[in-house]
Amino acid sequence: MEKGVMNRRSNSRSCLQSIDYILPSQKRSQITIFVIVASIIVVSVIIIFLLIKGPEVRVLDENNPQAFIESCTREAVEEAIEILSKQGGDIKPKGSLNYEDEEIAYLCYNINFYERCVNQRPLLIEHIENEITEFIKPKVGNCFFNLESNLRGRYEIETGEMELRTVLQPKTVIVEIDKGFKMTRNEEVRDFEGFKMSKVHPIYDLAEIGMKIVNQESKYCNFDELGHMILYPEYDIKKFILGDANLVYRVSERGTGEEFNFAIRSCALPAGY
Amino acid sequence: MVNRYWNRKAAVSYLEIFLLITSMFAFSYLFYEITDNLYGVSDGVELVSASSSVCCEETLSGQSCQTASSEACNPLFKISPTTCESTDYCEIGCCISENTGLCNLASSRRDCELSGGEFKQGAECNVQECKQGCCILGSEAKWTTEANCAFESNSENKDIFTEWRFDEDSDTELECLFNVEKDKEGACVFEDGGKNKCVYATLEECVSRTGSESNFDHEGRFCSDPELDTICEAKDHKGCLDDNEEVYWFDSCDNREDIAEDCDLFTGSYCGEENGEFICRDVDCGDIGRKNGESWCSYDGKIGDGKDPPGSRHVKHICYFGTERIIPCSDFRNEICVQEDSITEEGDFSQAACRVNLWRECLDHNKNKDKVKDKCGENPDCRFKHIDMGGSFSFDVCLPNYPPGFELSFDQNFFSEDEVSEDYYRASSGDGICSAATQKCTSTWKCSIFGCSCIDNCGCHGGGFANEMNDFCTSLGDCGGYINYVGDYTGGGYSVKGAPGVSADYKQYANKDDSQKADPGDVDFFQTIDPGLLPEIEKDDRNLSAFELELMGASGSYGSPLLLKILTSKNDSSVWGDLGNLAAGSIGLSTFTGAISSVSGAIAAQIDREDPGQPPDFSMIIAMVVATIAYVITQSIVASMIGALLGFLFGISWIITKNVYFSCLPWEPPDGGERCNECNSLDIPCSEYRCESLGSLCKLQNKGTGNEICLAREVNTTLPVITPFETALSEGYEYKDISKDGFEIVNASTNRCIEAYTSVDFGIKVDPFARCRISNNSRDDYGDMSDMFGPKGNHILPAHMTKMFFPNPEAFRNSYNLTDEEIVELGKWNFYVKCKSSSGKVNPRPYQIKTCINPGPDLTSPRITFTSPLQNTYLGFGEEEKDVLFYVNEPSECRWSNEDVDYSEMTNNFECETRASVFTQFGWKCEDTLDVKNNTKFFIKCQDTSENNNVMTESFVYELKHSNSELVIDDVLPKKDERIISGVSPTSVKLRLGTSGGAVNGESVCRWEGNGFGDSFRYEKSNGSSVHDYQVNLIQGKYAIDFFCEDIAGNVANDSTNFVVKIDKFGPRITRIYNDAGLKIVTAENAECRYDFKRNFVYENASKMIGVEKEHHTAWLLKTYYVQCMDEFGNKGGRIKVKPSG
Repeated sequence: MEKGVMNRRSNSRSCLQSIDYILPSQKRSQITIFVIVASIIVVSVIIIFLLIKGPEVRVLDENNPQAFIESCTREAVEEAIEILSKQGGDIKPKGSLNYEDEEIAYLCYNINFYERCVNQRPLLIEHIENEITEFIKPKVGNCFFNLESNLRGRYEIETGEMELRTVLQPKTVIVEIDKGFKMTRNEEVRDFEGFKMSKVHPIYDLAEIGMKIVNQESKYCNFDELGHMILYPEYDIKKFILGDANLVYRVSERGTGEEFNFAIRSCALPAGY
Repeated sequence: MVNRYWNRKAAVSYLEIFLLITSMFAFSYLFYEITDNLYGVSDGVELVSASSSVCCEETLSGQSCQTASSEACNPLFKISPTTCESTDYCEIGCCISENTGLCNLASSRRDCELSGGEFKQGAECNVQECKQGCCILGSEAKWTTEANCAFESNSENKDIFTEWRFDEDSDTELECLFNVEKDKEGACVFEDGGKNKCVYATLEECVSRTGSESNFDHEGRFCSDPELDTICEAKDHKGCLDDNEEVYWFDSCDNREDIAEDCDLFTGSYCGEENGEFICRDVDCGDIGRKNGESWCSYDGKIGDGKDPPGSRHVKHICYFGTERIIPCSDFRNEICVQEDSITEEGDFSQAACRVNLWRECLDHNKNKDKVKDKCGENPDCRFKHIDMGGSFSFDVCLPNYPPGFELSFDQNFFSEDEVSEDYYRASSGDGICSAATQKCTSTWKCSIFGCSCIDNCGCHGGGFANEMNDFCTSLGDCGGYINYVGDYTGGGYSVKGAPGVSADYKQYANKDDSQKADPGDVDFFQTIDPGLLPEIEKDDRNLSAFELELMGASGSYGSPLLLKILTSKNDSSVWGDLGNLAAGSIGLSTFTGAISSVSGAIAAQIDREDPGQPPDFSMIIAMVVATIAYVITQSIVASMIGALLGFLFGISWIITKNVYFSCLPWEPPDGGERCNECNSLDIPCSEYRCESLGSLCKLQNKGTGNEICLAREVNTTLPVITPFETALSEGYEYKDISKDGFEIVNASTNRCIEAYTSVDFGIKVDPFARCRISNNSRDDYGDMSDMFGPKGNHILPAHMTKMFFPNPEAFRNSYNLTDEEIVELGKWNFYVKCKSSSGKVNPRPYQIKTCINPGPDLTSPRITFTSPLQNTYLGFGEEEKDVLFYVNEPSECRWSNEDVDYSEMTNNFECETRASVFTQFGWKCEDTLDVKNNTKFFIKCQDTSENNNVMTESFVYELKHSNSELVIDDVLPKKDERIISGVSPTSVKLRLGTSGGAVNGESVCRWEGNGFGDSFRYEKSNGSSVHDYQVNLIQGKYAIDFFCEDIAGNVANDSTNFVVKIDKFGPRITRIYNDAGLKIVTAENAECRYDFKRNFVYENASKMIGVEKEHHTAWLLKTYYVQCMDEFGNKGGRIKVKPSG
C-alpha cells in the first residue's frame, strides 16, 4: 500500500518535470502572471471580507473578567430582545400570526366572534424576563467556557453552578448571574460570587404599554392610540388592521426607535351574523 | 267565483307553487338545521344542540382557554364540555403581578397561576390593588397602581422620592400627568478633585448621590449659576429631553437649563433635530391642512340611507407628528367612521372614531311591531322605512342605515370525494338576511261585466315596486341590484316577476362627498346598549355618568379631548387648572369621540341570546331574525288584505288577484376581473372583501401578510358545462339518462319513478365554477330565474346541491277531483338549470333535471313529523288545557284518544289543513286543545285523504309532563335595602338569583331590568340548586332591579330588589394635628394611621399610631414625622409632614 503511494508521488513529480521541459519560457511567464493575478484576487477577497465583517475580537482583560462576561452577556441579551420585540415577547411564538414575514404572538385572543379576548400573557414582563433568561442561559454558559479557556494555563480556575436571573425595570434590563468563579495564580486569588449586566433598553416600558393595550382591548374592544400618543408623545403606537379581525400593534419609543410588536384578536365581528 | 280558485287547474298551479316551496330554492334552507332536529321528534329523539363547543385549555394553534369546537383543542391539555367561563381552570379574572404590581384584565386562572401571579375573581380588576393613582417618582409622574409605583421607585436607577396619591386633586390620569406637583430639581453641587462639580437633580437624587442634603440648592438654581462657582458653563448647547416637547439649553456639564425654544405639541410643534440643530419642529400636517392630533373620516362613496355600496369601507385618518396615518375601520362595514367637527381659535378641528355599526340591532327592532318606529328612530345606525303599494301591501321595517357587507366568496371545501360538508347547508349571512326582502305583492282587482279595476296594491305592477323593494333589499346588506364601490352596477341580486325591473340610477352613489359624516350618536344612546353598565341614578359629583366614567377610565382617552380643549381656549390658562372637570361635558360629545368605539357593550348588544353562557348558533339567529321580519310584514299585509276583501263580499262583483314576486338575493359582483387593480391603491389597504367586490375573477393574494394585492384570476371563457354530482345524491337513488343536456332522478332499485313523501338530495357539478339557478320554465334566461340552485346557488362554486321533498299528487285526487291522467301529469317534474361562470358565461341551453313521482295509488299511511309543544314538554303548574299543534307529512284527518284504540273509535278530532296551498315545511298542520288536567298521555292516529284513505296502524303517543310546583325565586342578591360600600369605582356587583320548583328544579331563564335596562342572566347549576349570576359595574347611587324568570313550562316568577352603592374611593383626610401629651392627629373618617421618619416609607412597614377610629396618637419626638392614614376599604390618604418644634 505504502509502496503504491510512493509510486504515485514519483510519477507526478516526473510529470511536472516533463511539463517544465516541454513548456517554452513565454508560457512560464504567462503562468507566473496567472499566479500573481490569482494571489491578488484571493488577497482582495480576504480584505473585502475583513472590511465588511471585522473579526470578532473580544479583548480579554485578565484583571476584569466581569467586563468580559458583561460584554458577552450583553450581546446575548441584545439578540434575545431583538427577537422578543419582533415576536410579541416569545422566542418561539406560541399561538401567533404571520405578518410581514414575522411570527407575532397573540397577547390577547378569542377565537369566537362577538367575544372579548382572553389575555394570553398575563404578567408579560415576567414572561419576557423568563424568555430572556432561557435564551441567554446557554450563551452565557459559553461566555464562561470561553473565559475559562482563555485563562486556563495562566490561572487555576474553579467555578460553581450558574443561576441566571433577568430583571426588567423602567428603561433597563438587568441580568444577574450567580456563579462562583475563582482564579488562582501562585499567591494571587481572585474570587467572584456573581456577575451582573445592566443595559439601557425600554423593553419594560414597551411591554407595559402592551399590557395596557391588552387590558383595554379585553375590556373595551378598543385602544385609543391617538389619545395615548397625545398624552405620552415619547411613545408611538401603530395599529395594523388585518383580515379576520386580527390586529397587530407596533409600540415604539420615539427617542431610541426600539419597537415591540404583538397581535390581538378581540371582539371580532363576522360578515353578517 | 270561489270554484275558479279551487278547481283542478288551480290545483295544478298550487302544486307547482308547492314544488317551489318544497324545493327550498329561496328560503327553506334557513330552517334546515331546525327541521333536521325537529323531524326526529316523532321518533322520540330529543333535540340536540347544534353546538359542540367545549373549553380547550389550549388549542392546537397554541392559544389558551378558548371556547371552541372540540377538533380545535390540543388533546394533551384539559377539555371540558362547557364554556371556559364555567370551568375552574379557565375562569376569567384579574391577574396581579406580585413583582411589578401591574394588573392584567381578562386573564385565565390557569395562565395567571402558571406565571406566578395572584388570581382574583372579576375580569375587570375592580379591586383595591388595581386602583390606579398618581405615582410621583421624583420629577416624573405616572398613572399606575400603588404596588407598581413602589416597584418602579425601588428599581435600580430610581433612588428618588416616591409617593402614590389618589385624592380629589389627583384622581385622573390627566391631573396626575399635568397638575400634580412633582419634586423640584435644582443644582446639586459636590466637590471632586478640588473642583466644584454639579448635577441638576431632585433633592432625593442629590442626597443619594452625594450623601448630604446640604449640597442641594433649594432655590432651584441651575448648575451654571455663577454664585455656585461650579465648573459648568451656561448655555453650552441646545437639546431635547426624552419626554418633553421644549428645546432646552444645556450647560457644559450636560445639565438641563432654561427653555431655549418654547415648543407646544398641542399647538403643533415639538423639539427635534434638523440639520444638526435642535429646534421646535412643525408637527402639523400642513400639506393636507390638518393639525397634529386631528382625526377625520373618509368614505368610498355615499354613506347612510342604506346606500353604502358593496366593497366600501369607512376609513379614519389621523395626523400625528407631521404624518398622515390611515386606520381603516373594520371591514364589511362592521364599523363606521364617525366624525365631529369643532371650531377652535386656530380653525376647524375634527375628531373621528371607528365605532361599531349597530346594524344588527336595527333588524332586532322589528320584533316589536308597535315600537319599531320609535326604537328605529333612537338608533342613529338604523333607518325606518315604510313601504306602501297603495293598499294592504304596506308595512314598516327598521333597516340598517349603513348596510353591512357579506362574504362574497366561500371556501370551496364544502365538497370532498365522499361527502358534502354540513356547512354547505348552513345559512350564510348574505343568503339569510337578504331573503327578508323576498316578498309577494298581491294586487286585488274588482271585476264586473264591464271589466276589472284595481282596488288593492295597485302599485305592485308599476315601475316603482321593484325600485322600492330593491331599496329595502339593498338596505339589508350586500343584497339586491346595486353598484360596487367603484360604481359598477350588477342586477343579479334580485329578480322580479310580474312587474318592471329596477330603473333607479345608482351610479351617483359611488361619487365621493367630503361633506357627509356618520353620526356618532349621543351618550344616552350608548348608555342604552351597555347592559352591564347600569346608568347612574345619582350622578357622580363631577356630573359624569357611569358610561362616561367608564370611557374616561381608559388610558389615553383624555388625550383627544385635552387637545381640543386647549385649541378651543388657547389663551385661557384655566385649562390647566381645571383638568379634573375636562371630562364633565363642557365640550360635549367630542369628549368621547376618541373613546366612543370602546363600547364593548355595543359588541355584546349585537347578539340577543337567551343564555349568555352558551355560544350562539348563528344560523339559528339569522333564521330567527329573518323569520321575525317576514312574520311582521306578512301579518301587516294579511290583516290589511282581509279588510280590503271584506268590503267587497257583499257587492255585486267578483274579485281576482294577481301576484308580483320580488326576490332579494345576495349582491353579485360584476363579471370578470378588469378592475381588480383598483383595490391596490395605497390609500386604503385592500381586503379580501374589497377585492372580490370588484369582479368575480378578482382574488386577494398574500392575505394577512401586509403585502396583499388584488389580482384577476385567469379568465376561463368556456361555457359552463353541467354534469350530475354523484356524491350529493341520496342513497337509494340514481341518475339516469345522463346526457350533456340533463339527467333524470330515479329510484335505484326499480329504475323508475321515486316514491311519494320522500326527500331526495341531488346536485350538479359545473365547470368552470359558477353560480347556478333553477326554474320550472324552460324559456327562462339566467336573469329571469328567481330561484337559486340550493342554498349556495348564488356563489361561484364547483358544485351545487339541493334537497327536494316529493308529495303525492294522489293526496289531492279527492279534493280536486283529479283524473288518473292529471295525477300522472302532476307527478312529472321538470326543472331547468342555468349557470353563470365568473367570466359571465352562461350555458345557452338549459340543463334539464327530470323526475317523477310514482303514480300508483297512495299506499303509505301518514306520518307525524313535528309537534308543538315537543314531546315530553312540561306543562305549567296548574295548567289544565293545552293548545297543541302537529304536522303530518301528507294531507290527513287526525283524531286522538286517551286510550290506544282504532282510528274509527277515536272520538276527538283535530282540525287539520288538507289544501295543497297551505303546505308548510313540516307538512300539513293539525291543531286542537287537549284536556291535560287528569291525563297527559295521548294517542293520535291520522287517515290520509287519498283514495285509499290510509290510516296509521300504530298510534303516535304524545306525552306531556306536569310541573310539580310553582317556580319560585327564593334568593336574591343584593338583598333589599342592602348598602354596598366599596373603595373602587365602578365597583363590580353580582346580581344573583336562586330559583327552585317549577318544571325542573328551578331551571329557568331569568332576566333583570333596572331603569329600563335589562339583560339575561348567566345560568349555572351547582349542588342541585339553580343559580343565576350577572355582574354589573356600578357607580355610587340607588338601584332598583326587577327580576323575571320563566322555566321551560312557562312557569314564571318575579321578584325585585333595591340597594344603595356607596363609593368611598379616597383615603382619610387628616383634619387636625396637635400636641397633647404626644403627637395627635384627627381623621375625617375611621382609619388606621402610620408614621415614619423617612420621607420615602412603605406604609405597610411604618410604625402604627394608637387608635383605630378618628383619633390617633404616638409619642412626641423632636423629629420630622411623615404620617399617612388608611380607611377600612384600603384607601390611603396623602402623606403629611409633621415637624414638631421644641
